[in-house]
Amino acid sequence: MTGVGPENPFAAGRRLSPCVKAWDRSDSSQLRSSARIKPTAQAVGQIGKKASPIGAKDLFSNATILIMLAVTLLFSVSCNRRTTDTIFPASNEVAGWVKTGDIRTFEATDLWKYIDGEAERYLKAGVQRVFTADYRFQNTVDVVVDIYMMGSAEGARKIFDSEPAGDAKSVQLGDGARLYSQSLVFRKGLYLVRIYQESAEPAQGLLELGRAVEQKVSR
Amino acid sequence: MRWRGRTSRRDFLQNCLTGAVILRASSKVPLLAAPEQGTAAGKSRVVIARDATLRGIGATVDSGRILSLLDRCIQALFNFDNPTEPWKRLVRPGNKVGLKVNALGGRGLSSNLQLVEAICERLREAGIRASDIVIWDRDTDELEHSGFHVSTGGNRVQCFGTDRVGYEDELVTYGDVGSRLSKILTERCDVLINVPVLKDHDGAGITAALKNMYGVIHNPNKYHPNGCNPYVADVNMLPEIRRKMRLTICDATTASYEGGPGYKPQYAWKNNALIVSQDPVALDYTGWQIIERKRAEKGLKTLEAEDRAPRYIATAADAQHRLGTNDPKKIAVVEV
Repeated sequence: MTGVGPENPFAAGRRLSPCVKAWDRSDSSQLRSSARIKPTAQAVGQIGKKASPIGAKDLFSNATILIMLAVTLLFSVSCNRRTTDTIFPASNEVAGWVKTGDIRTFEATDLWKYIDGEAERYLKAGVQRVFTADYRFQNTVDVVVDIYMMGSAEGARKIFDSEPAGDAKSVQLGDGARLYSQSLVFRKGLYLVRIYQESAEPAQGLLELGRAVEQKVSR
Repeated sequence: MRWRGRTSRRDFLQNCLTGAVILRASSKVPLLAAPEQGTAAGKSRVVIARDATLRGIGATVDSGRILSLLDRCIQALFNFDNPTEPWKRLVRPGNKVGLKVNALGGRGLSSNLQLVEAICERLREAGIRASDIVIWDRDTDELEHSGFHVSTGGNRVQCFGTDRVGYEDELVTYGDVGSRLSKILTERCDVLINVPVLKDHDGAGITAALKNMYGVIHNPNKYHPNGCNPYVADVNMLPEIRRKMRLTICDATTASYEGGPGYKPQYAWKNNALIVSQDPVALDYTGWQIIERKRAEKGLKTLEAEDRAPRYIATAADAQHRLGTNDPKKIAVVEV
């Protein structure tokens, strides 16, 4: 890296890394205040020239496109809701476990907002999105359930195998599982599931909750 | 401010509201500004304080013990024999003080609530108004999830994320970094106290003082390639950050040696320690060694062997950055 002082951050001829080029491109539009963008007279004139009366055919065509878009959007929302609703056990579906918050979903592109720099290795393994929900066991122990949906079972295996087993107990669950004193990690098909306690109380019922999630993602 | 899920030891909220004891610092007392990086003749001082009984018989950090641990650190760092005086030299009444915490790891691995409460208590005793203290990170929901109680008004310690106020419109740049800064930093802080957590970091190697500044900018996701190098160092060179940074109090009460920066209980350990320094590079270097020792104890490869040694630490110490020193011969680690 060639360093330059703060007074001259982008010295002439300085090669920017691909990363910087990325922010330069993607963020410049965000930085541009709408108040600063004033259309030139020429541009206004061009807009005027392009404008033409809208016929009935155009209206029909536009309406059709809008309806198709709306249907697609509704279908997508419906599918997503169905997915999240069906892969997490409902409250008391497993004895003692209550779901305490909404399910949150992070798409691959936003994964960094949830797990910061760890997102990179999931992206390399082909993560599609992650679903996360909080549970409480017998009103005492809080846990988080993270369900990573990968692009393939190979992606889930890659993440699972990359992590040291440490003092895990091997348990029969999904395609591979590790049970620790305060967490459970397993993979099943496209899914990699982490269930972990946020507090330090002795863990109970993690495996039962895990088995319920495994059944859900197997469907 | 109130703290979710517990009753404050001394009813901290009440103290904040009533302004119990405010000791006015003399404006003639010189401030303990961040050292002139790279030019100081002496060694960079890094203080590590441990308390094996920090949690008493339970799992939660004891408020009284963490305050005492903090006092030991600060007194040792600045060579004072009472706990309040160094704070009076760090801040002045009327200063707006930001505590940049790390709330990414949820309740398991975020800046400890009791520690933050202890820092606020000392700041209040140094004459800082409760409402002039802001506890912050990038996202309010994350703060809440980590157990902080959001507070955005009144005569209380403030606590919220940048999502509530946004980022500056203007891009600031240094080296390979171009970012917009949190308005909490630019508008709500004269003094920045960094309160990170000591963690393994999948990309960067480790995260502690320097990496925690990724939570100050709008586009940290752009700066994770190449082990976050040189980006971490460059972010810390942004003038607003460098000028306001006064002290790092690294929460190593619970730390992680693998699988970070997210919380994975199987790779976290109760270290029951604080690491404090005015040199963030020396602190990060020291934190790295602590993590390496734990990895060795657990039979894991070194970060170097895994090709994820935190190279940004050396960059932060180089001639272009001079944010501190990573030379162990120039670091005085003091264990108290």
